[in-house]
Amino acid sequence: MTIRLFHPLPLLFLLLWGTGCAEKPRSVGGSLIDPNDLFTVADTTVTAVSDTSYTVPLLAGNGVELLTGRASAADEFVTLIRFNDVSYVDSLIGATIDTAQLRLYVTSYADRGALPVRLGVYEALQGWKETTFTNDSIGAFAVGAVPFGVFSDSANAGSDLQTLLDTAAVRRMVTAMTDTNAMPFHGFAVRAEPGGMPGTFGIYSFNAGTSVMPRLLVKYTKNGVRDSLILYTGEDTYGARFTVPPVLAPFEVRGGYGVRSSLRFDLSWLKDRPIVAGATLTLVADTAASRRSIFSPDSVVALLGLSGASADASDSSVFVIGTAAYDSAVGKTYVFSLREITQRWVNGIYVNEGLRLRPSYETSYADRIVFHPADHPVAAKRPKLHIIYSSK
Amino acid sequence: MKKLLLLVGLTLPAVAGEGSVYSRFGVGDIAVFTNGRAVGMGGAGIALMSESNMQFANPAASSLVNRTLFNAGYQYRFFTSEDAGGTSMVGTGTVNEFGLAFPLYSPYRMVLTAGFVPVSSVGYEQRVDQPAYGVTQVFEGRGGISSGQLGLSYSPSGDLYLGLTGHYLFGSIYRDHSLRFASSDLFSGSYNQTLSMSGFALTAGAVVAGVDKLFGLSDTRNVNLGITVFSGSTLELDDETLRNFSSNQDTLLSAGQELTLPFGFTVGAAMTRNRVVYAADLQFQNWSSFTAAGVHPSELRNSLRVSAGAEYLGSGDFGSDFWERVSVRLGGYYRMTNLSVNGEGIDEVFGTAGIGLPFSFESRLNIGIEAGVRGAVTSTLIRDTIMRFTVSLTASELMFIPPVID
Repeated sequence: MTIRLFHPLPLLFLLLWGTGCAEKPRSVGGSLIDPNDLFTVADTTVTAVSDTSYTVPLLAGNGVELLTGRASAADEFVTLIRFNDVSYVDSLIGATIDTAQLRLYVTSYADRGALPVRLGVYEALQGWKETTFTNDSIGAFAVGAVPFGVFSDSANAGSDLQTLLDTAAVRRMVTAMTDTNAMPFHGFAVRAEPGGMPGTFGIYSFNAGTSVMPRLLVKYTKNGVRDSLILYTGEDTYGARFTVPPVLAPFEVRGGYGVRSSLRFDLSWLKDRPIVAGATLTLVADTAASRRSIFSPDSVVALLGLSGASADASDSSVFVIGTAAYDSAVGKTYVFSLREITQRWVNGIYVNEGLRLRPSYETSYADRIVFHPADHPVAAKRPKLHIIYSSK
Repeated sequence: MKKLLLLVGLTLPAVAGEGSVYSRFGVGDIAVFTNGRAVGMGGAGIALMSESNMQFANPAASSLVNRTLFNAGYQYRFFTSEDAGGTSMVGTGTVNEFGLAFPLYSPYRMVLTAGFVPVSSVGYEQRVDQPAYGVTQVFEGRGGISSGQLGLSYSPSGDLYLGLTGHYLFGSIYRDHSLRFASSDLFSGSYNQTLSMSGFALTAGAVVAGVDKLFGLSDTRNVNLGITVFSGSTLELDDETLRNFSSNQDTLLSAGQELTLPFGFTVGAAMTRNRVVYAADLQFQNWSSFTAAGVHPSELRNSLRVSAGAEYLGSGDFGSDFWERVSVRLGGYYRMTNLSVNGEGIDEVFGTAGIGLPFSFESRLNIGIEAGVRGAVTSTLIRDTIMRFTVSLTASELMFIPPVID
């Protein structure tokens, strides 16, 4: 039997099959829905059950910015810079160094006192590496007593600080770089001059662009010919040194010093995996106790807390950023969207070990943000998590 | 033949469609379908027998088929649903039947039938607005149960025809429940439930032909009686719910549960007189014993359908004028559906009409229209006004054989 599949009728049949589509219906019959079938939507606000400030060793050498200067009479930032471009300094062997100028580019400042700002360039008397030097390593770190040079400038953000250095010091640096048997030279330590006005300053590191990173301009004469070169590669880092250990507020974060906080909410009452439609964390800032740098991003990072021996145990791949806002009732706030993290806590994907807070760009700015704590006498100022959820 | 089987495959996903909100309950709207011819006769006709019509509802009624028949149908459904708050309209079309019939052994009227027909369909969308949170809860459903079936008829005598159909019942019902917040800052989660089911069932059927002659009321055989009994079935049911959170998805799976489709029966009569065929059926199904995962939905009750129709038979002479060969049908049915919602039974009334157009030798194109209402507009119910337009082609093997040109 020969089948004529391409007979017009089977083709018509297929065409009709293909048109089997429908417009989207509108809604009628809501009364047919059993109320028990509906999601129950609710919202609630919970207050943090704990908040604690703590300090961590801060590895500042990998950042784009460094900090120097003095926030108060009791604490200061010391920047360490070491040029290490051996190939260039070969030109200086047998040469007379006429001048050596160190240039640093200012990115930000905070608590700047009366002008001019005076920052001295001293010799670092101990060995160090930017990959291991932490902010608290500076405590016993020895620096020279006499500066090789002093920056004296308004130190506005964008200023290109310049100072001439003692050429003998640069000669020592060159010798140490080219002769392994020579006395080691550990680099320069840039710090506020004793007695100078306070202020902390951000400066670009070697990790920044070529035109703004630390540069050492050396003019020299060799074989009767005057020439110059610029050194602009090396290692750098900084540390915070205290004469009086800082007293931490109960709930604060502080850039440059490695001050962070943990915060935790009890969500055990949320049972049976409700759908978290929104979860907003609001922290109210104590603006009187806080301090911000010019041009710093006004934000805070909240990382997922983990269990562990360290109070700072966290998952650096899971975080949210809280940005500054203003609430007429309580003043300045930082607001975070914690929906996904809260959902994972509720679903048991993450164990609720709370959050670990730190400033955004915490190695770049010496910002201090103090939050009102969970035991604040005014309930509206306590850390709050507002959750909108639905369950069935 | 392979190409025909491909055609069968193409129809499978299209069996279920969109429709009434009432299809939220149980396994959805229960199909009323005997064959393309019966559509215009109120769906009645389990006792109707013909050489050129195969039967999906009663395997015994296909006994007279004397050559290979191919059957395919398309149905367009248009629903106007109305409640106290407004009206919604939706139209959808799908293939709703596909079948083949082969005479195996003529002395005993052994005819093998095979086909796919819908058993139920689910298709709805409902919204509930909750201004308090600017949220709309949306319920959507689709899918249904289909039957792939194989039937065999047998006649131990010239008056009695028996048949047995084995059904493979299969399908999935998808129920989505989602939250939609007006604010884009809030996550609109959802639960997507998939009920997958499959299992076997049997329908036994019988037709006693010429009852009038059997009892000496007539010299010719004009009246047939028919009966079918559906065995009911316990389908294997997998209930899987996908929960969509903003951060992840998870799945709740309850596999290996049971869904019990209930026993039912249909009795019918058909009579031919002066080129007019009269048919009437009564169908009952014991939905009060329906359970899904051991739970009987409170909205389900027993269903009962009474249907009747008549057909003016066109001439069977190929040489007659086209219009003399056209059959005309009228009918209607009343059905107490298997639903009782908010304490009120949902009933439906339909009027039907149809024509059978002669087409290429023994083939016929049956066109049927059904119009009816279901439910009522009250504070707790809706009324569906339903139009169904069915085109069904019954073709014999002759249609596919090119004429020999001498």
